[in-house]
Amino acid sequence: MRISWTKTTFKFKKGATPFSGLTDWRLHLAVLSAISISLYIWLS
Amino acid sequence: MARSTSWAYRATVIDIGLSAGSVELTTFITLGFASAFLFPYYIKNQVFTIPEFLELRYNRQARLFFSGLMLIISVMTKLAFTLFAGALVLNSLLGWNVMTTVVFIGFAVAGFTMIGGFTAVAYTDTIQAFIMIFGATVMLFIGLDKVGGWSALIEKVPEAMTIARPYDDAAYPLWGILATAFYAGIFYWGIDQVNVQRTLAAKNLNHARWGAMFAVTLKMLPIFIFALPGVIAFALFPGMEGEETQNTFVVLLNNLLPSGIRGLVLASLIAALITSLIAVLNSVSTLVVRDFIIEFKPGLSDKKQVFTGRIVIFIASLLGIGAAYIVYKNEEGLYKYLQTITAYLVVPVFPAIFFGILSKKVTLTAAKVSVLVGIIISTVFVIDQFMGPEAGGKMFPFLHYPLTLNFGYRGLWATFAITAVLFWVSSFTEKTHADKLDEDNL
Repeated sequence: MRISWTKTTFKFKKGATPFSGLTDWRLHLAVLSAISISLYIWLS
Repeated sequence: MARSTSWAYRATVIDIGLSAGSVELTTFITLGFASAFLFPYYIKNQVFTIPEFLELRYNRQARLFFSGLMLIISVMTKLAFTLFAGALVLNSLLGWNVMTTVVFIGFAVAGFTMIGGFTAVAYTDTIQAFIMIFGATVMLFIGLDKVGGWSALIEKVPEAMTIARPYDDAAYPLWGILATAFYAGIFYWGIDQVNVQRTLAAKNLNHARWGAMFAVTLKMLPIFIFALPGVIAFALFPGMEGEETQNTFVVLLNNLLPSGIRGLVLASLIAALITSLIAVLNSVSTLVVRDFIIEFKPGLSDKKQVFTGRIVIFIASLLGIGAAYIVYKNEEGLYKYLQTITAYLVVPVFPAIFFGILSKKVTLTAAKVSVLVGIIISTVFVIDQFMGPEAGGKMFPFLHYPLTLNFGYRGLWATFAITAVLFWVSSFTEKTHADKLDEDNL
């Protein structure tokens, strides 16, 4: 299958999409990052 | 999630403790990057395979080259690793010779795969994952109880209970392992077809990202349910050494789990190994037929494509058995073999793909040059690895300093160097045509 349209790079100046509350994946990532770093510190 | 790594942990953990699992906790970095920068592209561009994306960004040759590389990675890491791990378990259970068992499993699974049944594999995989997590968790708590609890475990094997080995540790320095997240990790989670395929199957970008975050959550478990039981085994059965350490998992199963759960976990693990092999053989067959056979024989009928795919599966199995022999001869532990080989194979291509997505400045010529430079660097790493510490140290002394000895550091420095070459050559070579480059926000 051939793809008729392409977007292959980012335009960083556009910035990030607005925060969408509890379902926003970035919030989940922040919490999971905090837990992972805490585990590293605890097990060190 | 961890079906194939669980076996390897036991062989590695017994030697180096919890630090064998330290890489698992880097998933928040790797899937964070992939969710932010890579998945939006794949979903919005409706790309089916990563090689297809490379054809869009660069050209047809880039697609073929990457497909070829993915085939090598599949055979050298996934096939070899899973075949050998499965053989180890059967060896410890039935006493069969390891390499004979590798050959037996290789041909048997090739036969299953050629007959078909991949959908069933997908469903079975999900069930197996839950059984494994349940069984390994039960094993962890029983083991902790037998050893006298967390404090007693720290008292008995303090050296194995730390995740942070010093920066100059040759095997698993914490900083070296963290470094791998920024190239091999992002590649594994965000570019490797086997994993990206799951993202491409998501309903939309949000689903893909939530799935990735669920994977980050699951990846916090292996250090406790796979690595920690290995340390417990070290504390409970301190006499194990040499080949015995490779059978730690079965020792734990036999000594810690009640018979019903033991059988269930063992059956699920063996089935998981087989389905892992089928999944890899299927993806190898798809890549070869889709990217190579049809490329050179566009009019090939569906029937002939299926037949060719079956021949590919058989040949891939033979190559996998050969690669498993290399694992068999590797004395540094299965999990380290997997990580080292993967790191050295992805280093040459990672900058061209990752920065090809992020930056308009990267040109086709620069991508080619960077991959070539990367191959040279990786070849030096591999030669050094094969020569061993003494001869390698004489031939390549610069690779034997504390911050260049471990594969994690080496890959990071190589990635920096290759990225510099990529942008330097891009600065004076022909720019990619504007039609190919659009824009998007994060």
